[in-house]
Amino acid sequence: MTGSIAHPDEEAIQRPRPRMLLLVPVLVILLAEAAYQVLSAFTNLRELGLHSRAPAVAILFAVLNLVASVGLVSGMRLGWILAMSLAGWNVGYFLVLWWIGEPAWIGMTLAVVIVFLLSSREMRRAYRAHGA
Amino acid sequence: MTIRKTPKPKPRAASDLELLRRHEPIVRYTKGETFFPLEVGTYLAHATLWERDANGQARVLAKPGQLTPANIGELVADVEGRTFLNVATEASAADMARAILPGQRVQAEGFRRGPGRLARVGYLSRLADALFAGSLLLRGRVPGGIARSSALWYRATAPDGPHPYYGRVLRDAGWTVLQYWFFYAYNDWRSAFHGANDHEADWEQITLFLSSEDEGAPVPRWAAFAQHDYHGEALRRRWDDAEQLQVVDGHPVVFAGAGSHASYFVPGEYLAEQELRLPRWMHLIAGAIGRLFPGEGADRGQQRLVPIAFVDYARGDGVSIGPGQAREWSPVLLDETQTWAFDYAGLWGVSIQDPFEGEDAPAGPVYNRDGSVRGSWFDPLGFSGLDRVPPPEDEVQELVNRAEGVAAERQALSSEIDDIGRQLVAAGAELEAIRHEANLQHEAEQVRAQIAELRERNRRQRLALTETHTRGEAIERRRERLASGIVDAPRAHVTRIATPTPAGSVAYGRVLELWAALSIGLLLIGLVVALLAAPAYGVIAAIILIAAFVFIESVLRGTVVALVNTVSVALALIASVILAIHFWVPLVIAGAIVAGVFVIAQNLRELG
Repeated sequence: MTGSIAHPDEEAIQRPRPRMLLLVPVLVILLAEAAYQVLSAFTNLRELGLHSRAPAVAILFAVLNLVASVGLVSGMRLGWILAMSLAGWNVGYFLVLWWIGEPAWIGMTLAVVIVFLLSSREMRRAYRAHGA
Repeated sequence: MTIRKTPKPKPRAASDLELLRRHEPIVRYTKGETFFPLEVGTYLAHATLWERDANGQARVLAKPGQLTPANIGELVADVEGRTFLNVATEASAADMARAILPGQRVQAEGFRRGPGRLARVGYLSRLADALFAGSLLLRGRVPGGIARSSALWYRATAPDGPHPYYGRVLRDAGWTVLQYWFFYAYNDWRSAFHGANDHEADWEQITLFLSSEDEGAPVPRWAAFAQHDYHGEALRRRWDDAEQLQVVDGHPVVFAGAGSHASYFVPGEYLAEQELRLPRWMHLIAGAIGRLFPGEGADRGQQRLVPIAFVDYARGDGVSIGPGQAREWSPVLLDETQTWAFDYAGLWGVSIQDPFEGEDAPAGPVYNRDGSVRGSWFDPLGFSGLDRVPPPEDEVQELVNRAEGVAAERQALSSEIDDIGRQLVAAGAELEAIRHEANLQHEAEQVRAQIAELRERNRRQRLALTETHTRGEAIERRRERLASGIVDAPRAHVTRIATPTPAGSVAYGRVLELWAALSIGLLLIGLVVALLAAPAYGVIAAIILIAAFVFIESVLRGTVVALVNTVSVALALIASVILAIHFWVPLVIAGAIVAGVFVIAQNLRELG
């Protein structure tokens, strides 16, 4: 047998796992955001001065956050793509809010943290998110 | 009609010609190539010679049938304006019309276009391509009909016999230099192969550098091929570099670009590149970001190359000319008897006065378009970056000579340091004697200044001695390495070489090719429509439109992941700056607290 062809399972075993130090904060933030979105969909956070999206959008984002979390825990590439897309979208969204004079600092900070954690070399290698 | 004045054979010339023949190249063309090396006499016999004066007025100096290689020098001897030749536009209107009729295709016959050139590059390069195409309208261009009529003329006129090259032999700094010049009636890279330019006539060259051991026959050491966008050392390959240079029985193989006739070492399709010269601060920022967020391309070095959407097809799957090939060479020794080369400094083809010169015909082998002498002619060693390289058999001796020079330098430095040391000790002793004498304080100050100066000289010379020692050791190490037969890597002299596009990376889908052809035009139209329809939201609409185009492109290329990552990180960096500016006070306080805790912890660890 030639040594150059790795069995799929073998490849999965050899692939480096992300350190929990990187993964746990991402999962915590994603789940916290999901919880926050659900909360904002069914309560009047806006009246308390907190920022919230429209209920339907909030539910959609909560579901996407949960799916991304499950995908990351399962080691799926799609999980990384979804998590990064959500984080990128959120950063852009919070930048627009800041631009129009309604900054949401906590949301922006959390989104930035997720982007930097997900874009680390270790995470991208673990989720095969190198370039193409 | 005398086409070429036959030189009286001389003993040196005979051996030079023999040397040229021994290593004459095999040139492999791409299938569809129309123009092959042609004798200058044939071209001149059909050419009109023009002079353009300072006012831009052109007048005929000689009509077709009146020019020969022997008399062109006399005809331009007293001419003050710029001169140029012209064969292509001599075609009658009927011939030019006939050339564009269906079934009259005479260019790029059998040529198989590669994957779309625009699909190989990004938006910026496509925009540059659109601007370039637009610039041709302003700069002027050689009409495509001329290329076709020239091809018809070439097909009807060019002899079927062997093809000429003009070979030159010179000896310089221990090297024997063989230059092979090829003359083509036309460069139809743009009109036939979607390239950058068209121009009448084309001069191309390759150069071989030989050296010999113990008065033996010279052997090839390096080959330099003229290529687009490359200069100096990047033009040459070592003779034993089998990966980069094919050699068949002592003959190097050249892969000529379709229409452009540029020479390549390796067959393939070459995407033109242009080095992007960014300001230093932009390089620093890009480098810092690259280190912070290392990706696949983080180690590509400092050079940032922008691909240009022109492909030079040098596949080598068409006609081959050279020893053992279907077509052979008929060499012409390019020495002082070839007066046309030295006496005619004008253009070898029609001049359309292109300010960028891309569509202007070239001058001959000796001259540049502006009438100055070509660097490759007067200094072939310098042109190929070989002027600082000794022939391999001389290098060890050169190093021995150099080592002796360095040793002498070291000896001189040591003597000087000893001398300075003696002066320093003497001055120090004097200072000790006078520094406590109240009436000698002025003299003591002078001695102190002298000591300071001596110390500085001593420091400089000792540093120079150390460096000389290190240089001497490096020279000795290299001498030993060479003497024991260890040679450098074949491409140790270059940092960048022309590389064909890998076959796998050009397997684009038809959808991407179609998108590449349409995208820039659609984007420009979309931007105009958005600005006209909603001027108040013009900027936002433009950003959304560009973002949508970038996304579509990345989907078609399968690079969505890279796009998501790049955009997210870019936005996160902007947000980080905003956060840092807004929360700078708490950040500074937090930083100070963390630093304080860290210092305390470190100090307590020492106590424990």
